Amino acid sequence: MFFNEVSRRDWFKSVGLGVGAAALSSVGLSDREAQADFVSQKDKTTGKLLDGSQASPCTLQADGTIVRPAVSLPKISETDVLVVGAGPAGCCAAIAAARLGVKVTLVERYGHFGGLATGGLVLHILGHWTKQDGKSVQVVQGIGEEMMQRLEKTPNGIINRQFAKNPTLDAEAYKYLLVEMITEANIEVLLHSWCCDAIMADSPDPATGNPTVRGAVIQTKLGPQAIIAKQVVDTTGDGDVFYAAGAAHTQREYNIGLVSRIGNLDRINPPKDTKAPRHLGDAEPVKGVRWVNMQGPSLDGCDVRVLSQLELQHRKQIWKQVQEVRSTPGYEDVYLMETAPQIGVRITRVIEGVETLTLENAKAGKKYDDCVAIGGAWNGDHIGWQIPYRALLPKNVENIITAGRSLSAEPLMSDVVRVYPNCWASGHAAGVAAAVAAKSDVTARAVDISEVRRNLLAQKAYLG
Amino acid sequence: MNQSTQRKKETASRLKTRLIVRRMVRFASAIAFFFVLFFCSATLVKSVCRLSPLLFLTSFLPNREISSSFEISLFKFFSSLIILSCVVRRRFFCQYLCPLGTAVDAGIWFQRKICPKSFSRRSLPVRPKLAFLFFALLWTSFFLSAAFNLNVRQFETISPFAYDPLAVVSRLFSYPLKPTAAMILFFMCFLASPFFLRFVFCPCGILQDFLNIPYRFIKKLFSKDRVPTVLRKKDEHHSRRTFFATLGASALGASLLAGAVKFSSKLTPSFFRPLGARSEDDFLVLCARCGRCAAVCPSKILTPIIATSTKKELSASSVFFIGQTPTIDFNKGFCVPECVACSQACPTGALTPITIKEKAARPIALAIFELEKCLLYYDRECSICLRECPYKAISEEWSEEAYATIPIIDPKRCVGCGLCVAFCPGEPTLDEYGVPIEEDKNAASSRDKALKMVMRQPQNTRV
Repeated sequence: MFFNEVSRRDWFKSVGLGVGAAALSSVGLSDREAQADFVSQKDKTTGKLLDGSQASPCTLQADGTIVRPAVSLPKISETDVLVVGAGPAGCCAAIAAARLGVKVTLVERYGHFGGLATGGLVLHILGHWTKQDGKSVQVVQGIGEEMMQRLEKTPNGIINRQFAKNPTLDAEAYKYLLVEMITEANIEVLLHSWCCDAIMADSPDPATGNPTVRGAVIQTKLGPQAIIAKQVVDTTGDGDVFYAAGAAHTQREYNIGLVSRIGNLDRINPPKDTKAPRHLGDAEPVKGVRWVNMQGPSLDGCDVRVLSQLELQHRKQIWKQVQEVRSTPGYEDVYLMETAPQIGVRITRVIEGVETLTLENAKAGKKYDDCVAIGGAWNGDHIGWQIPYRALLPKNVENIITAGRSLSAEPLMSDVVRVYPNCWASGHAAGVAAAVAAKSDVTARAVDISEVRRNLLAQKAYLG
Repeated sequence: MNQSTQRKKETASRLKTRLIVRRMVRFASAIAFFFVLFFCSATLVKSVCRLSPLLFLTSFLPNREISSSFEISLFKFFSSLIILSCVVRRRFFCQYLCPLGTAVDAGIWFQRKICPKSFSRRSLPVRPKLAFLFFALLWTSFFLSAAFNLNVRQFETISPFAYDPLAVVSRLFSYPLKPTAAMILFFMCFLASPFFLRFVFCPCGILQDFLNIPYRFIKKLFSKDRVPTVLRKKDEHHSRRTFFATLGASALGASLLAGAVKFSSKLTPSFFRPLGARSEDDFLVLCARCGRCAAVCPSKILTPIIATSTKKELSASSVFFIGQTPTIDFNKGFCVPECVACSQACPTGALTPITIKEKAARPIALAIFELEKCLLYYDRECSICLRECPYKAISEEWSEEAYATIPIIDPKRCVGCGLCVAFCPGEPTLDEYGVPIEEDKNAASSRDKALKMVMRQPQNTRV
């Protein structure tokens, strides 16, 4: 019997410390095994890389400069297509590439997939409809459409999914769905990994003379680790990889807000003629919960001081807004459910691509030979605009493709590009292009566009 | 056979032949006019309108700024010919060119068929004298004020030129036809007495009479064998009708004048005008109300003032005097950035012809913004106005106070095209929580917009 074999003191001690661990341990283990496992985990030596001999801290030199030593990095993975950033664009890129049978590694800085769509609580699927010849057409299809279809089958997954309407999804449902889809696609996943550097080939590309990207360095709790890849897809949004690789880009300032969710909206009972409070946001699939967007000031979203300042300021504002709602008669039960774990940075770095999208061309419906995706209109009454493959390619670096909000576009156009159905579409294209390039062993610039388009169409993407 | 009877018969047959010729010419000219109106370019229609002696005298003469292009010189020449003809031949324009002449003929024919004993079975023998005097006074004051650059607004704003026959016909085909009470009344008046309209109401006709006076006076002086004119024939039978007609015309004239004085005293320029419009005073003087600007507008946003909702703000007299002048209805759409057709189509110069390059410097309105109707105020993503503005006049600014991003309109850049208003999704509709909801975009037009077009005040008008 359990009590006979363990002293009472030991038993209390282990219960006191190990309640959480016991709860976490798998159901199949016996109680004793669970306890043993807990003890061993507690005492296990970790931090293999920091065993003194391998530590390579930076040095503050006498002249005040701080120097990082040149060290060789451990290689955590070698892959065909490395997708950095698992937001809407990154997930689409990874899934699309994996479905073409190449080895895909997906790197994400947070512990979940979906980026701003889930962590940023941006739930509104804006702009995948356009109006062509007076008819509404859904231009963002492929993997994005597949996600929406699967969300429809998920309880509380998506609402307002109707013809020519902009639906709203639920962050948790989408997080779950992405886990499902990414596991199905057999993608190597590295979460909690910040991409902190690019890895370049030691000699420039012979055809163009440009430096070539050969992978990326991720910052983990075990220090920096290297991932080597044939093709890199930068879907970080902030362009972390192409920035590190020295690709030409523009740094932009744009509105940075913080989204929140409020609950108990199904229990409000305002007396007649009450003016509704202002910050009530929009409906989302979960009953009684609404997500409240925020515009925020236009600042540099890569500046950590800016982000810190805004996190403080926005949280105060959200608290104030919710108190305003609660002080309205009939809205007393409303409460602040959560603020987004991820701050809503809209646009930061935008690559200088071979081709740049302009709003004027988009309105005029300019056609490109190498169109790999079609973007939608926010208000559904524009024609669709083509995304050429060249807008995803940096001018001066090889083997890196960007997608999502950082693709090459003028400022006003970036504002149209950044909404996430467009990220789905461009991510899908980037993933397929990277996979095709990796398969045929050519640089991303030299990839056969007709092959990319054929594969995109096979994956049900819409190309006009 | 009696010689005088013989001569009378000859004269009668000659007159009859002349009448037939006249009717045929008049019919042909009406057909030509309608043909031009329907099938020809704005330039040609504009030119045809310029043939009217009334429009010529009331727009070209006072409007010295009109550039003397070949086209304009040509029409000045033709108009001068027509006016000269009017001087020597009584009502030359009415008799041969006026497209309404045929309508009057048709009216008479119709009347004789259905109502042979009506009041105007025969022509009105005598021109109502007071009405004649009234118009004479009006013309004199108008030309004097034009000649000496005086601003005699009560005479100018009365704009009898609005009833120039060519302008009236052009207007009928310029705006989408919606029978108004005034039009029905006008039509009934016409059926009751085509002659009344022709001789009493038509300012163009009376102007021609006016032009003809000196010639007839001279002719009378030098001719011993006075030809009995309709004017001089005293017909007792008609004296009572003449009296009533005179009284009616005078009452009309007097009320017009009184209304004009009353109206002009409180006239404020509070209507959008098409591209290239002159100052409101000048515009009202020069505008013939022909509606050519509206006819050529590709987005059909030009309407007469009486067809807009603002007419409720107008007094009855204002509606009468300026009701037919064109204004912009921004609810119907926006002014296409690459179009200056309206300014080019104006026959009288009330709108100065401008080029697309000049367009940005001639704003027609100003967009203003109302925060509480804007989607951004309700934390939603929008910025559609910023993206749509063809003149890059809208920017966004973060307001710490409102904790919202606010569109800012630069009045220096805003041309007033109304595109932002057309694209503004508008005030959000509220759901059961009193909260904005996503809605079918087709319903957007019925909602209040966050952007609104307003008149430019003189201080923020760019020169």
